[in-house]
Parts: sequence; C-alpha cells; structure tokens
Amino acid sequence: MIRGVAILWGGLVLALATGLFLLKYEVIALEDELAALNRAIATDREVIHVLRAEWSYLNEPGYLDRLAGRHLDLVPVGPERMAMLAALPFRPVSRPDKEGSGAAPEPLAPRVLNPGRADAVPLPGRKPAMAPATLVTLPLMTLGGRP
Amino acid sequence: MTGRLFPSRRRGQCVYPGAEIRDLAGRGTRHAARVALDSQVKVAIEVGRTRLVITAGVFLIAFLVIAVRLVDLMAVSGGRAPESVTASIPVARAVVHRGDILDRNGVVLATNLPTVNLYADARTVRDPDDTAARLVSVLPDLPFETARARLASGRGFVYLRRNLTPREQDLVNRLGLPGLEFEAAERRVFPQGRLAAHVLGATNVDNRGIAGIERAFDDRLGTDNRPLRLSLDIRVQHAVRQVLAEAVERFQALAGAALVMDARTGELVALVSLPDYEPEHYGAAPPEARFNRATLGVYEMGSTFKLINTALGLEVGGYRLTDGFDATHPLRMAGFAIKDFHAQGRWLSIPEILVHSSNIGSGKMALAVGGEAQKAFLNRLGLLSPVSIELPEAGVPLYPDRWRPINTVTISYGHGIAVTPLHLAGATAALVNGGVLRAPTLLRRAPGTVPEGRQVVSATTSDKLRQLMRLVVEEGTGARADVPGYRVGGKTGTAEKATDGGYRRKALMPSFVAAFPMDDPRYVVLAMLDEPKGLPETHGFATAGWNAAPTVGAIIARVAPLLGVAPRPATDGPPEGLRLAVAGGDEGVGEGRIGGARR
Repeated sequence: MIRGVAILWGGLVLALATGLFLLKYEVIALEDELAALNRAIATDREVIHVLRAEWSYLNEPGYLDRLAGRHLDLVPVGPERMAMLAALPFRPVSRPDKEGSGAAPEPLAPRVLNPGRADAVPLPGRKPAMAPATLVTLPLMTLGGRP
Repeated sequence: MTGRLFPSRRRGQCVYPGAEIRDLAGRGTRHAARVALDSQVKVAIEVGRTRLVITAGVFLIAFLVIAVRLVDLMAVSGGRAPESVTASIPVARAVVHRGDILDRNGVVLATNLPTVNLYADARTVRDPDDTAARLVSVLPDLPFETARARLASGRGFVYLRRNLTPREQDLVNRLGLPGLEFEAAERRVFPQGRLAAHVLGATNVDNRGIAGIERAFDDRLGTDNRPLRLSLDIRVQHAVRQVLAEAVERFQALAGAALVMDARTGELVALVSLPDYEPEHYGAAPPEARFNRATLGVYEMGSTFKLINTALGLEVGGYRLTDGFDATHPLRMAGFAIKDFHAQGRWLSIPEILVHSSNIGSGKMALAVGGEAQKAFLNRLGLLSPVSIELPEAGVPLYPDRWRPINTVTISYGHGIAVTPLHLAGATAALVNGGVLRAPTLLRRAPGTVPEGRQVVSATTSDKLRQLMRLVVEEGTGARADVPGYRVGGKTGTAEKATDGGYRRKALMPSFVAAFPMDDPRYVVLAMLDEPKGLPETHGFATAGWNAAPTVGAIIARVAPLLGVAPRPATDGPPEGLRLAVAGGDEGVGEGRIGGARR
C-alpha cells in the first residue's frame, strides 16, 4: 500500500515537473512572439507616422492645385455654380387636359442586369419618353419669401 | 479511497513515533503492542516526542513560508501582478518626442520625423583624408575641408552631418569606414511648406520652438505628445495666401497681410503675412520675411477705423443714422487742414460719412462725442492693449499719451493710432456679430462651443453697422469687394505711411476689412497691402478701393464655398430704412444739418 502511495506521488511529481517544463517553454515562446509583435507594432507605428507626414506633404494644396491645373479641366467652384436643393424646380408634370396626351405614358419595364437569375441587379430606369409639347414647368415654390 | 489510503490515526495508542505503522487498518486482528513503561523512561520518551513535534512544527512553518512566498511570487507577483501585466504590454508609446501640430481638419502642419545623425569617433578613424574623400563622394554637399578637419580632430564625438535621409545612411553604411557612427535623431518637418509659416513659426536644430506656435507651445509640445489642433483650415489658408500673393505681385506691393476670422468664436481660419519663409530654413530667411505683419506689425489703419468711429457715434454718442455733420469745408485744427479724399462738399449723414469715407465728418463726430469717451471706447474694443493671440509675435498698439482734440480727430479716421491688422479684425468681428468681443485664437474650439465674450456694443448698434458696411460695398468705396450671393460688407482704409515727422503721400497702406454674409456674419476677412503701385487698369490709383477691396472680394469668392457659406440670390439693395437715411442727407431734407443734433 505504501508503495502505491509513493508511486502515485512520484507520478504526480513527474507529471507536474513535465507540465511545468513544457509550460515554461511555451511561455518563453509566447514572450518571444509578444516581443516580436510589439517590435512590429512599433515599426508600423513609426512607418504610419512617416506616411502621415508624407500624406500631408503630398496633399499640400498648392501642389494639388498645380497638378489639377496640369491634368484636369477643373476650376474653383464659384458662388454662381452653387444652388440649394430648395432652389431646384419641381419635376415637370404632364397636363391631362391637353389634347393628344389623354393617357399617361406606358410605364417602362424595369431594367435589370442578369434578369431571372439570383444575381440580378436593378439598373437606373430610362427617362420616360414624353412629348415636350405636353409638358409645363410649374412655377417655383417660393421658400422663405425668397425666389 | 482516502479513508483507505490515509486512515485516521488512533493517536491514543501510539506511545512513540512510528508506533502507529504497526497497527494500520487491514492488518487483521493483530493487536497493538501494549508496552508498559515505567515512569522514568516514559518521561524521557515524552521529552523526545515533544522536541520532535516542535522541530516538525518549525519545519512545517518554514515550508509553509516558502510555499506562500512561491505562490506569491509566481501567481501574485508580490502584490504587483496587475502592474507587471500592464508593464509587459507596451503602452502606445509616442513615436517621436514632440507633438504634432494639426489644422482644424487634422491635416499635419508640423511633425517630427525620425532621422539619423552621422557622427565620427575621430580616435578610431584610420585615415582622415581617405575617409573624408570617400564620405564626400556619397554626401556631395558636405565640404571636404570641414569633414577632413573634423575627422582629424582626434575627439571622441564630432558631428559630421545631421539628419541623413535613409538613402544617404545606406550609402554611408556601404562605405564600411571605421569610426563613422549613426545616432538616432528627430527632425521637425513642416509638410505644408511655407503655407502657414507665420502661424507655425520655426524650430532650431534641437527641435525647440523659436517662433510662432512652436515657441508659444514649446513646453506643451515637448512634454505632451497629443497633437495640438489649430483653428486654421489649410484649404482656406492656401486660397487666402494665393489670392494675396497674386495681389502683392500684381500691384507690386512690398508686402501684404490677410486673415479670415470666425466672427462668432474668434477662431482664425487663415492668417497670412507676405513675404513669408520656409519654416525649415528660418535662419536663412531675411528679417522682412520673418516679420509677421498680421499680428506683430502695428500700422495706422486709415479709414477702416471709421467703422469704429461710427460705432462710437451710434453707441456712445447716441446718434441716429439720420443725423449728420457738415463736411463742406476742411476741418482746421492745430495748424492742420483735414480734407476729404472723396470730397462731397456738403452736409453728410452718418451713413454718407462712412460710404464716402469723409474725414471731416468723422472728425466732427469724434469731437462731438469727446476724446475721453473715444479713448474709453477704443480700450473697450481692445485696441489699446497688446493683441490677444497665442503667438509670441503679438503687437503692442501705439497711441498718443496725451489725447488732445487733434488726436481725437485723426484717430477718428485711423491716423495717429497704430494697431495690428488682427486688432482691427477682432474689433470688426465684435461690431458685426451682435456686439460681443471675443479674443482671437489660433486654437480650435470644440464645435458648437462659443467662448465667453464681452458685450462691447449693443445688438442694435451692431445691426446698424452691418447695414452700413453692406452699404459701403453696394454704393461706396468698397464696391469691388462685392461677391454676388455672399452679401459682403466692409470698409476701405488707405493710410499714408508715416516717416519721421510726416506722412509720405505716395507710400500708401491700403486695407479692407469685410464681413460676410452681412445679414448674419460668419467670417471677417481683412486684407492689407504695403505700398501697392497704381496700375493703368486702376487709373493710377493705389487706394484701398482699387486693390485691397478686390483682393478681399477674391478671397471671399474662393473661401466662402470652402467654409460652407451658402450663396443666396442677391436681394435688391439694403433695407428701406437705410435708403431713407442716405436720402435724408440730401439737400433740402434738413434734419440736424450742422454738427448733428444729439438726441
């Protein structure tokens, strides 16, 4: 019986020692990995810092201005090119009492890419074909007392 | 199981240590030895047993202590477990040792970049001549003589070159020369170049601030690594600088200054002074380029001061817009004759005095209000104290010690008192924003927060001034500053530059201060040119209406879309009341004809 107890304890001690040994090496490996990751993070942070400065340098408005002037036909937006949404005229509507347009135009079939398949994609619809003679533009809504 | 492995001892039956093993359970019916001992032996055994128990106890305690300490060290780490855990995770340590400076949208204006310095341990350099020659072959801008002298100096540490690029470092490394070493260093860079030079300032080789924000916040940037966020908007700054640079070039001016300020919060969105410098080469810049004309230079601002004078008349003097003064004849005072540049030669109402920029009318109004009240009012607007700005380059106003009547008259139209353009912009912002004076600032305020201000004029006066400023642009000298849709209002000012004991007629300092949109001003814009020349297309004039006003107009047209100010279709002129006020000044409608009737 005493031998059984001793073997049990011995086995426990051996298992514990082996476990600890393995754990220690695992911890060392993990610590190495952690240090490597931390170094990588530090390097990345430094690179990001430098890239931020470079981004700012390349985005210098004067430089962009010169590039845009050389390669694009863009000009600065002036006040005359800006409008508020509220200033837009309303969509033209057809007048039913006008002759020749008694019936509303046929609604167009929806345009779909890959019709009938699972990856069908709806596309923007065509403008309805309407005769210009049947159209009127409603007067602008006056908003806040200003045209 | 445990009961079988560790049977409880029947203590009473053990007379000496070890006796119990003879009578473990399961050993059959064998009886424990019953030994009778006589008293002497029994006492000796008792003593031995007690000693054994004590020794065992001491050992037990020792092992317990060791066990507790082991647990403590391994599991709890001496009570510092949380600290050691956090210490093993590196906190986001700053990459560099000086905080960045950002604009209001987060664009980097100044940052430190890691570089390397090349130094030599001259004691280990084998052949200074050869080393210097090879070094110069890869670093062509390093003078050979300097390098050779330093390498031959025999000192243990001598700088050869600061701030190598990675490419240069690689080239030097490839030389494989003994005695050359690299030192990790940092260098302050300004990615936007000279765009915001006068705001940012500059740093020296040790990355210490020596001018501008860099100097004002030197300690803060050096200790706290969080970025410093300025109120500048780099896009607006670029637009303002570009327009001003074009104006300076076109009118062949010596210099110029311009700024855009948030009228509600006092934040400076753009601040430009020309000529400017590359912040990285501050030392090589000439003094006139280093000089910040917008915040440090004090100038007689000329007729733009009539805005303040009008506010004085309306607020302190209690005049109404229909009141006026006779400007038929020059105002003679202390041997001077004060004349009008755009002389009308008649009675002028207060709006007309401003619109036609009448010196005579302004002088008479200031005299009527009184010198003391004028001085107190200027002081209330902060025009007599050093400009309140975060920069070390803050100008101190110049004004007469003794405030005589002639000073009252000249100050009414902006001569005899010198303030910085920023002073004037700050005062104008207060006059148009409902009368609240807020200190100008270069630091971004949290969106939506409005700092505490001081009510300097009433909201009614501010309202009237807004109408008057709009009138100046619609009908007066500032017509070329108008931008359709933005309802610009402002005031021109053309000062003659003072020399010792007089003014130079031909050397002018035109300026224009404006605000937009005039029904609820969001931004104050100021532009100033130093000695612009008259051009054929300006009919030879070099006054503010011909150069500073169109400059401000161009600035507003460029920056208003950036600042999110929506244009609105122009309405037809100012409100009716003002038209009547101007009309009231015409001949025949004689309310308060001379001197202006005070209420």
